[in-house]
Amino acid sequence: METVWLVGAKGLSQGTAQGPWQAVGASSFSVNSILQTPQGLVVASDTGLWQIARDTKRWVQLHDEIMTSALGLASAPVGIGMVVASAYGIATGQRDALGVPRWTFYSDELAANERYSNVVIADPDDPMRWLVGTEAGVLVREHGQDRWRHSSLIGRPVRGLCWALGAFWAGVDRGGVWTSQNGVDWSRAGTGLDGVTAYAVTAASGRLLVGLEGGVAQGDGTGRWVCQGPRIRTRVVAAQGDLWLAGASPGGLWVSSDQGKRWQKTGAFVSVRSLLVGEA
Amino acid sequence: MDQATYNRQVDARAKEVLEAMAARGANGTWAAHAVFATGADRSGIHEAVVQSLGDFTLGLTGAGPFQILPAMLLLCRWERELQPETVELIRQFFTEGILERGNTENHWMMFYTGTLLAAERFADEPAFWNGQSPTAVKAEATRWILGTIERTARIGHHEYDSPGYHAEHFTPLVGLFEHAQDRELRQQVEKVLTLLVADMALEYYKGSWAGGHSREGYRQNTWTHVGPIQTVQYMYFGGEPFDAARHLQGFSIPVAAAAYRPPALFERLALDRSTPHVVKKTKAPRTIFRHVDRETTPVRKYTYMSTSFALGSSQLGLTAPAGPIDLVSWDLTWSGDKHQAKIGCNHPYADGGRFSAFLNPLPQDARRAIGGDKPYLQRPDRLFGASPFEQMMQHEGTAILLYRIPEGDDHPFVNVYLPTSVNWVAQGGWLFGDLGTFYVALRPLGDYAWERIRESANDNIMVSEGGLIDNWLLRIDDLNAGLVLEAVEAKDANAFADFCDRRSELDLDLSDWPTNNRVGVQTIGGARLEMVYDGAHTVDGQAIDYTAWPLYGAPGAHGEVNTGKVVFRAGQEEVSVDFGIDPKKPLMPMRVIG
Repeated sequence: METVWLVGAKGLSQGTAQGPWQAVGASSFSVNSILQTPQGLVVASDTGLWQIARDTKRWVQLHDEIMTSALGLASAPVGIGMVVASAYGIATGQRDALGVPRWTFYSDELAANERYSNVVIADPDDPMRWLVGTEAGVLVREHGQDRWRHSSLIGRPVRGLCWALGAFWAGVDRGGVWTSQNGVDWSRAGTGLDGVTAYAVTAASGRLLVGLEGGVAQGDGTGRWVCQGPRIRTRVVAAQGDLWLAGASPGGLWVSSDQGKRWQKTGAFVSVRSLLVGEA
Repeated sequence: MDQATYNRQVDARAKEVLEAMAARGANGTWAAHAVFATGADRSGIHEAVVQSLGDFTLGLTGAGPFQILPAMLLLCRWERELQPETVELIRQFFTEGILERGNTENHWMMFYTGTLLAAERFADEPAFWNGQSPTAVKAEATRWILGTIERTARIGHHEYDSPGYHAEHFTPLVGLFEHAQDRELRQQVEKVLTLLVADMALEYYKGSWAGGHSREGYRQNTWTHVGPIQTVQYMYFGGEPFDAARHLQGFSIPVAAAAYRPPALFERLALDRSTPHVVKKTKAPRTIFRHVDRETTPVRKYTYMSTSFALGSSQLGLTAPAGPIDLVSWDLTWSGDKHQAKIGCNHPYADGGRFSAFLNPLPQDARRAIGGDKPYLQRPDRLFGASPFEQMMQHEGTAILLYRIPEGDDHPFVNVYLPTSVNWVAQGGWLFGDLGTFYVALRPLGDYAWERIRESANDNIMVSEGGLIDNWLLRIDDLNAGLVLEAVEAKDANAFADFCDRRSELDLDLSDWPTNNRVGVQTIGGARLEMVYDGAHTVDGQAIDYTAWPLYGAPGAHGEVNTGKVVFRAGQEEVSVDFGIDPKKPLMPMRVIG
């Protein structure tokens, strides 16, 4: 059975890699990040935060009057079960007496570039420890202790973060790929991408796949990165077995089934910002 | 004038507006108020609502603030006059549609006003469009509206003094004042309406809104009369004959149909220009969320309202690369034909970071993403939009503007706009204009070329009525460009030739510009201005303390920042507003641009 993918573009779509693609609900809001939760899919959007009802596929509002420009999502054992990265910082939500989420931000005391949070992931060893890719670098939120730590990767925007192959990886604006074992101490990963913007990193077929300004790259994180694919602004990459997907903004969705040798455009997407294996 | 007499005059002008609008046969959802108010043919109203709301039930199109607000204002005021299917359509819109908040303060004001009124009207619905109960929808809207009012009362309006967008704040607030069920909300709304009327009145110059504006950016800042707010200004201030071309602005028509009337004294504050005076205002810091090392500081406005002209400037509190795209930092305004009664200048800063500093697109994409839809934002001849490299100071009719444009800037020059109707005189490095009742002198700093700026009448992106600019453009082609300007009432300067001679002879000290960042000028009025770029601004040796700027400071207006208390006076009349704020309470964060 073919893998079903969720694609965040203008609205959310699902389908197999070669299509056809079907809209999930009627909304055409931009989708910057997708999170699978026990209650269903949640998407982060420039318009706020939405949960997609399993039965009707209706987009149910999760944001409030201070949550908007939501860019990233991660599961977290707090509040309604997630931490949100947004242009105004990271936040968690708690349902009020009316049953709707109200958001609390934790970045207010930080400088503007430190507040602006492009991406958030949880430490696999501590779900209350969150790595946040900000416009100022990687900041670590030790939420249980209610404190922030600045990592060594600071002074440049971090656009992508992941945990893969036993390490943290960061995609850096005009800075290539960086890696860390603990989320605090970072070093450059591999060679050949030093001045290149890396938007996203993921594991693929036992290696690393990187979304770049101008295509994708693969490597093992220590040697030279191999750049390939169409010269697109690759905002998101995903892989399932030998099937690799690259979402570009602009440029749409591209698929490779031979570990990146040949890429084929799929669907009518223009601006793809998020990808996830799964069904709505 | 007593309030009753004033109200009757406003009633008459509002009737004039409504009848003229109805006579146009306009049946859009904003203008429909005129149709109902005058008893005109209403057969097109249902179709107008259908057109406005779109096929929302299929989810093919989202609906934003410009659909949400007028739908509810129409329903709240005219439900008995609407066809049942129109009412049902609006109900379905709010329960089944896909509604969007937008990203500016006026968007959210219209969105939250519309959804609050809908939540009250359709309170028995099990759920609204967003899956939440009407109670939850109303609670969120109420929090945001009250939070925004409190911000305005404490630190100044966010999307401040915009001839284009003031109406999109004013109209929803009048709708709340008249239709919202919550008494406390209505009381706070009435107070903030007073401030918004005061904002218009204090800088009203014979049909123009003088001085700095958060947003005047659709290539309209060389116009004498700008924006949808003109309808409201005409109704509340009068002072000029009705002009359908200017005073029929759709976004303000619901206000013409409303019963709200501001305190009468604002008419006097708006029209009395017999005594030159200074107006000071503090406005909220610009929302800049990335690329910057320091936070933006509050906007401090200074506008000199003279008898024959108004000169206004702003301390913007910006740092590079932030440059809000619609902002107009300063101008000289007088009474005259379109394009013929403004002088202004700017650095047409075009760095992509000015977009992504406050808008969501990536820095790599922002320039194309925003500039593709609005190409006029990236033109080298642009005359509006903030530059973080522009600084200024002002004392009465004299202003100094200095620029330190970095090497490598795409547009390493400053544009100065001059009307063609003035017979300019060049003398001693200065340019002089005789405007009859007042004289103006300009001294460009740096080499400049005298060019023509011409904008085609069919270049109508965002501005439906276009409007040909065919005037002068001085291009100061210098990274360290600047401009010194002095305007003086003719009665204070003898003959024009005397003015030219005297201004030429008075000291202009450029010996420290740009080497030590300082420019000094002696004014005809006898003051000495010294401005250091990135440093102090002094008048007669006294540094201007911008941190002590009032929320409102003018003859007839006083209020300090973070008190929520403002007093307005005209003669024996007085209006006080007290928002009852707790100055220690954290402000609701502003998550929109303005």
